Amino acid sequence: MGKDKSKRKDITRRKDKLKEEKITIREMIGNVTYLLKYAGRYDKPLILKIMILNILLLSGMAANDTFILKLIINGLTGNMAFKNIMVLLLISLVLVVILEWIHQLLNEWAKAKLIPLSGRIQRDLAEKNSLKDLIFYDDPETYDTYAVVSQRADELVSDAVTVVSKIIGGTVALFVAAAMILTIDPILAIFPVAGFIVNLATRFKIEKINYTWWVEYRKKLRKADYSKRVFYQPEFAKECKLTDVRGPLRLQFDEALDEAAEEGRIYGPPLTWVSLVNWISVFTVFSFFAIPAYLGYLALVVKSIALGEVASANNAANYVRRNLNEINYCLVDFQVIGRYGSKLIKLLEYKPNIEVADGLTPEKGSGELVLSHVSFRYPNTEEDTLKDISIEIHPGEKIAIVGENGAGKTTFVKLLMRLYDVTGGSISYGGHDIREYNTRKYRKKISAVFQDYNIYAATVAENVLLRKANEEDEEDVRHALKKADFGRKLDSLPLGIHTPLTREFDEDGVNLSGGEAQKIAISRVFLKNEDRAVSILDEPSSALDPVSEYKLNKNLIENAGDNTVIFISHRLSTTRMADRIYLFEHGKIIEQGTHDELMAQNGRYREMFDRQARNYLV
Amino acid sequence: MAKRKKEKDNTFKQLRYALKQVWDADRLLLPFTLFKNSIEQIFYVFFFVYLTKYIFNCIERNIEYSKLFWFLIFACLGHVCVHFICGWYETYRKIKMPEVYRHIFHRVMDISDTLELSDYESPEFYDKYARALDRCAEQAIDLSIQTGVYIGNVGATIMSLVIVVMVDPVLLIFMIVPMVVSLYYGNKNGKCNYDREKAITRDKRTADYVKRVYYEKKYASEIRLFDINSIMLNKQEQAVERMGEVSLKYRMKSAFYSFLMKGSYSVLAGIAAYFYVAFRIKHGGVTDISSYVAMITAMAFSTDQLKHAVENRIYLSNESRLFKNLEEFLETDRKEKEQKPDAGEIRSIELQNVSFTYPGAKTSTIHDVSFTWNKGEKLAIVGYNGAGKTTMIKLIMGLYPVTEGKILVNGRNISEIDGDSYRKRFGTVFQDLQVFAMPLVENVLMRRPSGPDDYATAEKALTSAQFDCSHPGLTHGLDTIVSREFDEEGFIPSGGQAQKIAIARVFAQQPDMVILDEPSSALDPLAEYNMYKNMMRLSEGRGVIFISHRLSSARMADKIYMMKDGSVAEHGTHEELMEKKGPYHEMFMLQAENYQDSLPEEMLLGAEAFYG
Repeated sequence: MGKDKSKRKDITRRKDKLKEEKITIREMIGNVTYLLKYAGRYDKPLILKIMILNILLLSGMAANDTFILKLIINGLTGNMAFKNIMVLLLISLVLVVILEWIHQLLNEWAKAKLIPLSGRIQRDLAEKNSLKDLIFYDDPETYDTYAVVSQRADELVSDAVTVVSKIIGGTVALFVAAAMILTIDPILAIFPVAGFIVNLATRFKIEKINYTWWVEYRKKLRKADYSKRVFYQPEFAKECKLTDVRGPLRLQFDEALDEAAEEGRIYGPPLTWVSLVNWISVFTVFSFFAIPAYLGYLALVVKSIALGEVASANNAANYVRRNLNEINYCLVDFQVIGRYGSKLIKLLEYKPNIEVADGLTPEKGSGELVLSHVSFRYPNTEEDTLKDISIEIHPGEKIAIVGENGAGKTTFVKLLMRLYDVTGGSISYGGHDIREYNTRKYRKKISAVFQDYNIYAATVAENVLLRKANEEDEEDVRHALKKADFGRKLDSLPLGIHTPLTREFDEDGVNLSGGEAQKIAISRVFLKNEDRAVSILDEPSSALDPVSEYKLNKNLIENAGDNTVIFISHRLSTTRMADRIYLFEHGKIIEQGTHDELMAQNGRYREMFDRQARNYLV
Repeated sequence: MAKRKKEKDNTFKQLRYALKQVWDADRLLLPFTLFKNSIEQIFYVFFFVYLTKYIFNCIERNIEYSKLFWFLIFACLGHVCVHFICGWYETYRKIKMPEVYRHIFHRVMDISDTLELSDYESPEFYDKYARALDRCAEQAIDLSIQTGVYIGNVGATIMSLVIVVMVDPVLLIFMIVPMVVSLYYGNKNGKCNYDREKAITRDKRTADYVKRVYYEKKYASEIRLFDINSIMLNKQEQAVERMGEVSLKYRMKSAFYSFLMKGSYSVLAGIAAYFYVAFRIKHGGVTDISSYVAMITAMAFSTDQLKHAVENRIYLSNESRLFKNLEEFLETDRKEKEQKPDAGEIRSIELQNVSFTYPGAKTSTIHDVSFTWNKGEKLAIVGYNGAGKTTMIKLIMGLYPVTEGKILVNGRNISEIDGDSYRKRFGTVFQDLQVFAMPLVENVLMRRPSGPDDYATAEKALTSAQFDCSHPGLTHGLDTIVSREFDEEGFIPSGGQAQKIAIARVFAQQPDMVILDEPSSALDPLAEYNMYKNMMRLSEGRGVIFISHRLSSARMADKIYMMKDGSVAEHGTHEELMEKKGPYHEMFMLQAENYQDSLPEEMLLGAEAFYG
């Protein structure tokens, strides 16, 4: 009994949620117009051409299918001469051939022309995306939605063009048909118009429920999908064979399916009722019943019209019904576009803060990096990741940051590079707060190797430079790779530094092992760079074997010269060469000093070092 | 021709197999789906062809209005009844769709039991099955809907043709001819589309890749720090331009074929039929004008149906292809698992001159390795990346059969004992370990917890593995779902945390033998130290193998095996190996350098010579 009650409560809660899905038709139209304008910015003539041609085409077809047809049918049933009918038919023939040919040509042409347009839009979005502040990615909720939306953005825009021209064209055609019906009997025109209006109202409602159901259903199904995937995806095979993980996953799968079915129980009935209203009124009553009944009444009881008019009116009514169906399909798409559109617009209107910041240009040479009472908190989290960090780094110093996983080391690096802005305190470089600089120019002063580096589907040289490679770069790239101990591998590559990496789209691409990939990433630090004043290395040697690690450390120190170097590491062996060491714990600095000082302090650092060193004592 | 026929048979078989999945999942769903999606078309025939003719006849013969009126009322009531059935179908389908999932994937789950690791690793497994399995359930439902529509199209076409023929058989010509024409050019158009798609495959992949780079979070930092736009956007621009050009090149051809396909209907079934009808009425002495007029309307309707039938036919045969792979996966007779004796408690594992070559590889990965591992013994396997350490572990666990030599478990050949029960005796942490999107407690226990005791066990295991159970990310404690795969409040573990969870599994499991493949690579020193300490304490009396290229931990082992190029280069205790001054000594000294004062230059050279 109690269970029943709670279930009902659940359903009411869901129904409230259903109401919450608030995006008005007006907003939807606004969104779609925005998208059209947006597309128009790139190729206005194309979009206008597609829309106008579509409208002309559909109304031409409508005219042929209603007015000319009416003349022909009247001719057939009346006393028109055979010759005159032939003339009408020939006109219709020419019209049909021309319209059909234009139709197909327009379709194919628009398809081909929209490809570069969507590509252009995609590029624009990519550029916009690269200017978004990194913090945008750290709010999982917004990120998830926007990632999905913006991935589909190019399709969305070209779909908007197609759908809108079809809807307008279809509506114009509908009015042409209605006008024809009007010439026969004004009352007759009421039925298709009423059908159109009822359809519009209920259609949106139907799609809304369907959409909400789909969202909830997908959410539940995602859990089932994941659980079942584990059973056959190769990356999970080992665990599947060696552990009992299949037991709980199977239970999870079943539960998720039960929940998914429950969504059907919640959203199915309202959907069914609204659909019934739509079908019965729009199709059964307005088109199948009312029109023949009224026509029959006019012809048999009032005797105001003849067979020819009945036939043409009936034809036109069928034409209206078919058109309504088409428009319905388009309206579904229209809603999807309108819905996604509002998210896309938010994305397009997003104003970055850090990435486009203009300001001072840092001076040549190295400056002093000063962090005073810096704290930082990620959006939607309850605790500061970094708390009250104060550090002074003089030009040319070698600094090591050590600490456990999750102590905030990588966040620290990102703050230094101004990928994020501090939420408390300040960072200054060369006497100015880094927020006063032009972000791009400031970042030129720093080069960094991250723990989570990427290899791109581009040539080796481009992967090292991370920009387009010129001829004069070649020597520099080779030198950098050699310094990063990639020389031997480089010699074995067929096209040397021009070898494409990854098989993303190139069958001849080379896939690198983890260690090799890391060497590529490290080589970025060894590039000649006159601007650079600071090098940051975030766990550079984690995937390397001991010999490579040794060589790397030696080369790094040599290469750095007068630069400031900041090492991030959890292996304390590398920290010995640092001028100063900062030990991070839970986002705070708990010890600092040189290796010898810290060892003498007998604190946490000493404890860690001794533990690691103990096993290496001969 | 024979080949084409066979292809057609296959399509039908695959479609039948897809429908069978729906049928087996729920007895009502398939007939219901077929009914709902075909009945509408058939009703249309009634309204557009039969009823039109009826009304026109009534008008021509001046029959009483009330007869027509009541006829309409009954027809529409019938239609309303059909609506009610179809309306509730929507609800029924939404509720029963998960059943199709359940039906298919319970069988997949059962089958995955009998799969060998080598099955998963064969490259065709992924291409053929994994992709089919990803989409099959939704596809099965979609196919049954489309089949319903197809049946409706065909039924409606046939019914309307029958009515047309009854009025005048000659009218049939105006439908058959365009049908043949459109089928012929439809095929040509299909080929043309296929060629175009093929011509742009690479460019499409490029454009998709570039898109991905900009939307995946992992690239975000680098994009902001480097001029990656200059590499990627250029690539995308070229790819898109090429795609546009190729499509423009094919545009005329494709438009021409589509024109012939669609145009043949509107010209022949539309205009030409009118010519004929006009001729018959004006010069053929036809009295039944109303029927002819009705038929002309009817023909527009039946060509519409015919067009859709042809389109649907192509769709069905294209989309059911995937079910060939599904059938292969589900219905292939797999070797019945032989009843082999249970492994029982493992006391010793002995490798005798074991060699192993991966299927398809030219050179062996492991050659001539022999050693014994007894319960209670702690072994370390060390060596450079690619020396064959992980492969050896897989052999020991019986995940692959050895190519030469043998592995004895308690003196019995490994091939004679039941693999699953044998493997259950192991606790393993792999380098490429996986955590699953399920509650943390299940991730540790690998089963549903049955009471507070289980939670205590899991928590203890996690603590022993240095996992911080009070982490703020664990919003629901041990019941927090790991990963955000489907739960927004899920906990995303870092590399180190995932490793700790995997280690906790071993602690919770209490196995006979423990295998750790580079267990500490993502751990920081303190966690590493504590983890090893706990591991050693808890695995007292068990066998342990750990693989590492960090030699500091190897020291804790009773015996160390140094591997190079697939064979054992040296073995012994740490002290013995250091005494020998061989490769192990060199590797150790090299790593120890920073913890000591200095390292002789010649030793470095020696190490370089060893590693190359």
